[in-house]
Amino acid sequence: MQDRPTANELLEAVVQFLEQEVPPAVREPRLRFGLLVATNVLKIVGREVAAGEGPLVGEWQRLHQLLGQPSPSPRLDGGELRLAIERLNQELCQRIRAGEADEGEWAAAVFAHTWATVVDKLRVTNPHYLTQT
Amino acid sequence: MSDAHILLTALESRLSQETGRPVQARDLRPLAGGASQEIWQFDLMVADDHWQGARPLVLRWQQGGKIQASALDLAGEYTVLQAAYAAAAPVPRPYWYWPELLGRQALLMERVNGETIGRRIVTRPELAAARTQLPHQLGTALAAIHAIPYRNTPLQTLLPGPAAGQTPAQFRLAQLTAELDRLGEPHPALELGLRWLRRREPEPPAHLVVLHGDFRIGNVVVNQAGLVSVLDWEFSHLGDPAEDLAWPLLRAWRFGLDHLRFGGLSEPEPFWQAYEAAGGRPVDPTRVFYWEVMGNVAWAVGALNQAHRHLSGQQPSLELASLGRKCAEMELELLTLIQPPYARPPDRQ
Repeated sequence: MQDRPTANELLEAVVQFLEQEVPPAVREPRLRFGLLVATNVLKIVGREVAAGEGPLVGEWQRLHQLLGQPSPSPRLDGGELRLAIERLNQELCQRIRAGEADEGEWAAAVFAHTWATVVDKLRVTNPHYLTQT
Repeated sequence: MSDAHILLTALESRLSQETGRPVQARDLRPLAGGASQEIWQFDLMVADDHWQGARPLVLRWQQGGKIQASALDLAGEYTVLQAAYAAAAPVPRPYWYWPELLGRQALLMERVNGETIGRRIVTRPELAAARTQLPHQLGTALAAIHAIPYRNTPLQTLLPGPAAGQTPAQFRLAQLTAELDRLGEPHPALELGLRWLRRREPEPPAHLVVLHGDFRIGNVVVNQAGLVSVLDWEFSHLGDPAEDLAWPLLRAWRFGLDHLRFGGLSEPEPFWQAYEAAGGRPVDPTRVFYWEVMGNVAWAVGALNQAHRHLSGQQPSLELASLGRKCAEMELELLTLIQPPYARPPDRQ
């Protein structure tokens, strides 16, 4: 285990530095814009680190249920989990494209799952987007 | 000699040939630069009996290649700009296109002054009066764009568009599906959107028109009186007028003012009414809604494409990389638009 600061605390320190100390020294408009983008990207990474693997595990379990696969195998680590989700998503995409999710109960389940997955992504990439009206 | 000095010498020599007179390119300086395109500004002075007044110009100077496979190159954009200018659409006047200036393509056009940044256009106090004019002005401008003649002109072969027997919706669906497949990433939300669109393909419109292809706040120049010019023509193509009518409604182009569905400025109706009053065909809101759904899929795929330009090493850029994470925003908006009555998704909060 690493000493503190944690990864997230380090990211927050960098964000603080970029937001408070750097801007006065940056005049050129394109660089100022780049600085905003960089800060925002670090905040995204910070939220992703803080969210941990919860959202991934949730997506994986829902996909298993939707696609009627045997019950999830023992715990996968991050990399394997991502690969497994990508494979399951490929299958889901093929079935949507083939028209299997056009109507009916399974279609409703696919829609609800997809909605939940997108909301999970936005909680990391832009939580503000979920509350704007 | 500096790069700027080499450019100045080449530019003045070429401009003398074009005008047949001695010229000066005063105050030449870079406005913006990317990996594939540089933009310079200068004031052109032409010698007559005396030096004529300064003509403010922009030089777009780019390595071969296009933003996307389906986009126009600089030569194509020049041809569209000429047609738009001739049809009295509000565009910067195009002056010259040169296939080669120091090894790069060059497009010279009028330099127009004003604000282009979307967030500023929808919020800055000094543009409040402009905002009341813009829905009307943009509707009128779009009607002029859609009236650009293209049959039996170079545009007919230059602009991408539906193949014989293909509707505009089928053409765009085929393009977007191919682009998504090329990315090789599974996106269930986008598949749901594409499937929804395939099952509801509208009849083709009465007439195909010249579309701007990226008509929205963020691609127009605005001053305190409102619209000055429509920029960024590289996505121009032939298609259903409703595609251009829907694009500025996308949530992505409301710049945070989501309740104002037309570009963060107003409801869509004033924009549509001005479009019809200026000669545009009657607006069918159902058809526009279809293209708003299509637009969200298109911009989601576009954002993923931009991120891949960074990821592939073609154009390393933090800004392009960050666009990949914008995809989820269009996915949520897409699902919100197409949500079927059977599935009431969990609350947004």
